Amino acid sequence: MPTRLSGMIALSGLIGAVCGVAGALVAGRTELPTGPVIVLLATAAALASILLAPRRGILARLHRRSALAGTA
Amino acid sequence: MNLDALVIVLTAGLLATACGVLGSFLVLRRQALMSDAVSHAVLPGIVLVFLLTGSRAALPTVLGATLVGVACVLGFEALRRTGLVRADAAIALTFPALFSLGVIGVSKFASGAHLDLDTAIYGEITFAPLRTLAVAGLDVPRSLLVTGLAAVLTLLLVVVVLWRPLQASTLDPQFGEIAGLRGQLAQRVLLVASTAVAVVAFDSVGAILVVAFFVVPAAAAHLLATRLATMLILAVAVGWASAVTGHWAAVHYDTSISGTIGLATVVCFVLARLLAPRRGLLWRAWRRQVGADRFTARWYDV
Repeated sequence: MPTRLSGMIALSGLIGAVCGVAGALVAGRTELPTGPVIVLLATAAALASILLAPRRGILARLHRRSALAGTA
Repeated sequence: MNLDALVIVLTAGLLATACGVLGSFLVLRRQALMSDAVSHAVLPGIVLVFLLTGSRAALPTVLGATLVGVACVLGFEALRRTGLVRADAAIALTFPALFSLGVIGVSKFASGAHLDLDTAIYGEITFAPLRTLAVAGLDVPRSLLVTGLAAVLTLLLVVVVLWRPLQASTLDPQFGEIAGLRGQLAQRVLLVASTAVAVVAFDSVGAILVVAFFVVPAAAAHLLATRLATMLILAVAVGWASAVTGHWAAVHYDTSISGTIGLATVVCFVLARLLAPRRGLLWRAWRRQVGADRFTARWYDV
C-alpha cells in the first residue's frame, strides 16, 4: 500500500504485531492452535490489501477502468 | 549391484528425469520453490480425505493431496497474475495459509488419530524395493512403477505436446502470446503437472529428495547450458549421476540414501558453479589469467 520504503517497513511491522496479538487472543478463546490462526489472519490481511489497496488494489483498478469506460 | 540397489537407483533416476524436465522450466520462471511449497500445502487435502473416508489408504490420500496441491498452485498463479505480488511472495502467501488450515484441521478433528505429513504421504526411498504391486504375475516395486509412469508422462507432455508453447512463454512471454501459442495455458498445465509429480513422488521417495531433484539439477544445468534443450538433458543427466553416486556413497558410508543423493545433487551444482565453461568461477579466473599473460607478453615483451 505505501509508496515509500520507510512507510512499508513501519506498516509491515504494525500489521504483523496486530495479527500476532489478535491471533493469540482468538486462538485462546476458541482453543485452536495459536500459530496457524496467526498465519491465517496475516494471510487474510495480505489478501485484503491486494483487493482493497488505494490506487493499486484490484477493486481500485476495476473502479478506474469503469470510470474510464464511462467517460469514453 | 544387487536387485534392491538397482530398484532404488532406477526409482531415483526416473524421478530425476521427471523432476529435471519440469524443474528446468520452473527454475527459468523463478518458481523453483513451488515443489517445497506444495510439500506443505497438501496437508488439508490429507485431513479432508481422512475426515471423509476415515482412512489413510495411499490412493485416496494422494488424490486428495494432489487436488489441494493443484488448488495451491492455481491460487499462486492467480495472485502472481494480478501483477501486485511477485512470484516468490505469491508462493509464500498461499502455502503457509493452506498448511495452517491443515494443522487446525488435525487438531480439531483428528487429534486422536496419528495424522501428519510424515506418516500420511512422505515415503522413504530406502523402502522402495519392499512395497510391491502384483502386475501380470510379477511383484513390481510400486515406487518404480509410479516414478517410471511419471517420467514417461512428463516427457510426453513437455517434449511432445507442450514444447513450443512452454519454450516461447518461458523465454519470451510476450512473443508467446502474440504468436498465439497459449503460453498462459501452458504455464498452468506445467504447474499442475509439477504438482502431480511432486505429490506422487513424496509418497514414493520422501519430500526432501523431491525438492532437491526439482531445483538443484536444473540450477546446475542452467549454469552449463546455453540452449533450453541442452539444459533439460543436462538436468536429467545431473539427476541420474547424483542418483548413482549418492546411492553408492550412502551404501559405502552406511548413511541415509535420500539424504546422500540430495547432497550429491548439491555437489554437482557446486562443481558446475566452479567449472562451467564461460560462467564458472575457476573458468573465469583462468581466462583472466590468460588475458593478463597475453597482455604482458605483448606490451612488455617478456
